[in-house]
Formats: sequence, C-alpha cells, structure tokens
Amino acid sequence: MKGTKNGLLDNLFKLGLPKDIITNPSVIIEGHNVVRETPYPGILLEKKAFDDRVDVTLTVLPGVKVDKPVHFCLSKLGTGDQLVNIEVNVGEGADIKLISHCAFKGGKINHRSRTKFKVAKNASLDVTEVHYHSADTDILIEAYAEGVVEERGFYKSLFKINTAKAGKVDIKYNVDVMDYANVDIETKIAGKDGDEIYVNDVIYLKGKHSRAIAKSRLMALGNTVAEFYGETYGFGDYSRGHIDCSEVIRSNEAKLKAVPIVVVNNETAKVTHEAAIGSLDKKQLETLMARGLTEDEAVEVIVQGMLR
Amino acid sequence: MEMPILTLNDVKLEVDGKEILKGVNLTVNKGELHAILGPNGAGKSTLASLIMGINGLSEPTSGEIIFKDKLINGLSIYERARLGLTLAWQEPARFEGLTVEDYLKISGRDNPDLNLEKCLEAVGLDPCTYLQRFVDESLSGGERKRVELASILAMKPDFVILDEIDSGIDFTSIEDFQKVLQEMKDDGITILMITHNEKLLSSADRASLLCNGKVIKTSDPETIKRQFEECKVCEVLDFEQKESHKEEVR
Repeated sequence: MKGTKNGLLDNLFKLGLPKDIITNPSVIIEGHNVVRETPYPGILLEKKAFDDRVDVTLTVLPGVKVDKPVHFCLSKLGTGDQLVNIEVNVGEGADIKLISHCAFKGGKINHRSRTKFKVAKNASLDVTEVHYHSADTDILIEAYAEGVVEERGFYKSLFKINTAKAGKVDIKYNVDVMDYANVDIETKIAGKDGDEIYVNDVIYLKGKHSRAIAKSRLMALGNTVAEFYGETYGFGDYSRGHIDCSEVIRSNEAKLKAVPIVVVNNETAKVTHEAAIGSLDKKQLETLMARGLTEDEAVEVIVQGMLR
Repeated sequence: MEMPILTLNDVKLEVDGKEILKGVNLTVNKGELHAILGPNGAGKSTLASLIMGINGLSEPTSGEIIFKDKLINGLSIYERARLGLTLAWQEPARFEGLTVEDYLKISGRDNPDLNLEKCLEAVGLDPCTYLQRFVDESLSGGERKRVELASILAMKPDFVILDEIDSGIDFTSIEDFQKVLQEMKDDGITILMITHNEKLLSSADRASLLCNGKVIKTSDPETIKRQFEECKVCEVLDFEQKESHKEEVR
C-alpha cells in the first residue's frame, strides 16, 4: 500500500493530515518524488526531481487572488533523507495562502527544506507549516527560509509541530521588509524528552514604515532543549518591530533560552521585545482538573491550545 | 428526608503557622442551595479551596471532609471531580487556543446528555456567536463567568462550589444568574455558594455564617443575613470584643 498513491494518502490521513488536500489545489511530495499535483489557474508549478533532492518553483501570476488554500504536502514514510528546495514568487497584487503539511512516519528521517520567497508589491503570502510526526520517528528537521517582502506586501508565516515528539528542529527565517510592508512570523513547538529546538528569526526592517512581529511559543515538557533567538533590525524610517517570546517549562530537566536582539540605527524607528519563561498556569491546570482531567490530560489540553 | 452530601467535621487548617480555619463544622444536604456568608478574611475562599483540593490545599490540618459518604481528605483535584465535585472560580482561568465549544466538551465529557447549545442558552449566551469564541482575554469578565457557569451545566456534577462567581455581574445579570442557579438545581446539582450578594442569598435554601475561621451559625438566609450584619460590626471590634460578640451570637 505504501508505494501507491492511495496507500500514501491513507498513511498521511492517519498521521492527521486533513482530507481536503485532495479537493483543494495541492502538491504532494513523498521523499524526492512528486506523486500528486492538483493545478489551479494562475499558479505555475515547476518541479525537478533528483536522487538527492527535489526542486519546486511556485509562481503566482500578478493579480491572481487564489481563493482556496494551496496545500503543499511533504512526506517521508520510513528511514531516509528529504531535501526540498522551494522557490515561491508571488506576483504584484497577487494573494495566496499556502498550507505546508510535513508528515513523517517511522525510522530515522532527515528533512531539510530551503525556501526562497519573494512577495511583490501589494501582494500577500500567508504560509502555515504544520508538522505531523509519528511517535516512532527519529527526526531531524532543518527549515530555512529567506525572502523579501516588497512595497506594501504582506507575509505571514506560522510554523508548528502538532505531534507528540518534535525531534531535533532547527528553524531559520531571514526576511527583508521593504516600504510599508508587513511581516508576521510565529513558531509554536512543544518539545518532549530528548527534543532539541532551535529557532532563529532575523528580520530587517529596511523600508520606511515597514512593520514586523516575530513570535515564538516554545514548550518544554521533559528533557528538552529549546532556544529562541529573535533578531530585528530597525533601519527604515518609522519602521516598527516587536519580538514576543513566551516559553513554558514543565520539567527541571529542560533547558530553555530566549534571546531577543534588537538593533536600531534610525532615530525614527522603534523595535520592542518581551521574553518570558515560566511554568504552566496553575489556575488553568486546576480548572481542567476540577472538570475531571488528570494533570497530564490537563497539560495536553493547555499545550494543544497554545499550539493552535 | 434530608441527606447530607457534604459534611465537614471539625476541620482545621493551619498555613505557615497561622490558623485559618478553626474547627469548621458544616453539612450541606443533597439538592440544596447552601450559601456561605462571611466578612473578608473569614476563610470562605480557603474553605472552598480545601473542599476542592486546589491551591495546594488537599488536606486539612485536622478534621474530616466527607463527600458522598467518602472521606476525601488528601484526594487530588481530579479524583474529587470524578466523584462529582467541582468548583467555579471567582476569576475563571483564560485559555489560549481553547474555544468555548472545546471547553464545554471537556467539562461535559462524562455527561451522556450533553447539549452545548442548551448550556450556553441557559446562561444567556447565543451558541452561534459563542461556541467558536476562544476562552481567552477576548471574552469580557462577565462573558467568561457565564461560560464558567455553562461549563458547570455541561459537566452536570453532583455538587458545585460557586466561589463569588456573581461578583462583578450587574444587577440585571444577577436575575439571570438566579435562573441559572435554578437550572442547576433542576439538574440535581447541589450548590455551595459563596456570595456577598443579598439578592442571591435569598435564593438559598439555607445559609451558614463563617466568621473568624468558624461556622458560627447555619439557618435560613434571612436569619444569617441579619447575623452577618452584626458580624460586620464585629469586624471593627478588637479581638476580645470579637470573641465576646461571637459568644453572644451563639
């Protein structure tokens, strides 16, 4: 079954992927093979599969407003490597929402994605990357993205790992924000025993009146290492940035670090930050336990809410 | 015949060397709405915490807490909840990413007759508007308290402690709140209500006056209300005068 498209889809659905990836415009890549593609007018998709990687270029033509989310499904079922180079170009005035489902099941898996994006003038790119890892997967994730958001463009990114175990995770974002453009980057990951999570968001507010916020919600439920580095550079006139890092620790074995770095070289720019590391809210736990949940069940509800 | 569902026998609690509860004796009968009145610092919220086992208070220093004929001293919060005991907070917790629908489903997961819409309508909230709202800071204080009451209806416990959940609700809403109390009673829920609100007090079947860490009287709400007024006078007296006043009250 694993080798067939239907077998693959069954496995993906079992991991938690939504079934509407079939009915909506989508691309499904298993390992280094593009196994399914549902086209959409106004979106050009080029892909090249190699033994050691797959290269994908997605172009949204100028002015195209994609009225459905486009699903990118990257999967690796069983031991092996996956390297995906993705280039996304959103043309002037275009608008697209991408949902990237990354599903991994069993064995030792190295998943690496290298994304380059360009959001043209007055365009919008909204990316949600959701990971689904089976409990028996030993996984390394490297997700690197760099791009530019041009005049009055909008870029939003949400990265989250929805499953029991995160693995070893290394995330790097690097974004240039031009005149009047707006960027919102958020990462939500819960780590358990042995997980290592490193997040580094770097935002350059180059344009006048550019805006950006970098948020992270990292949770350490066991012997986890989680580090967040949020760097925002306020260069443009009247640019505004904010770094918001909130980490939750629920183990004496965990090591959490939050490092906001703020650099401003323009007297009209302003970049602020807040960082907090603390335990789960006792009242939240007690409220759910007073409804009959065990402490572990209550923690799971709270964490899943924070990851939502 | 009146059947006790909750009984406290000579319950004492000492925290950091300070005696907060000084021998509380209290009986709440099955199906009744029992109000607890008392001046600030009398130990009302501590008593509620001790019965539910929250805030690290799972066991009294001495005495017995008996719920449905079972000694619950030392039980965890969820063990008490699974026996049918719960609590609604004065300032309910907020949850990031949890919708009202999620919260009510969690609360009512063991209720085979769970009807989310009915629970919300009973507290004056439109299900179409509220089911998908998040139980976070976007709800006003009044809305959050209504959701808390809806969660009690969803759970349908045998016994609920309402810890000043009426505080901060305006007069019109208090009348709605009385309807909710009646709805709970109709559902067979016994209510222990800590309140300062005289109007709500009149809805109670019985009331107890907690003063200086002790229940000094249990009677009908009117009697307790009168005695509460006297107790408030007692607050401005010095210690010896207080003791003498309490003797008089007894």
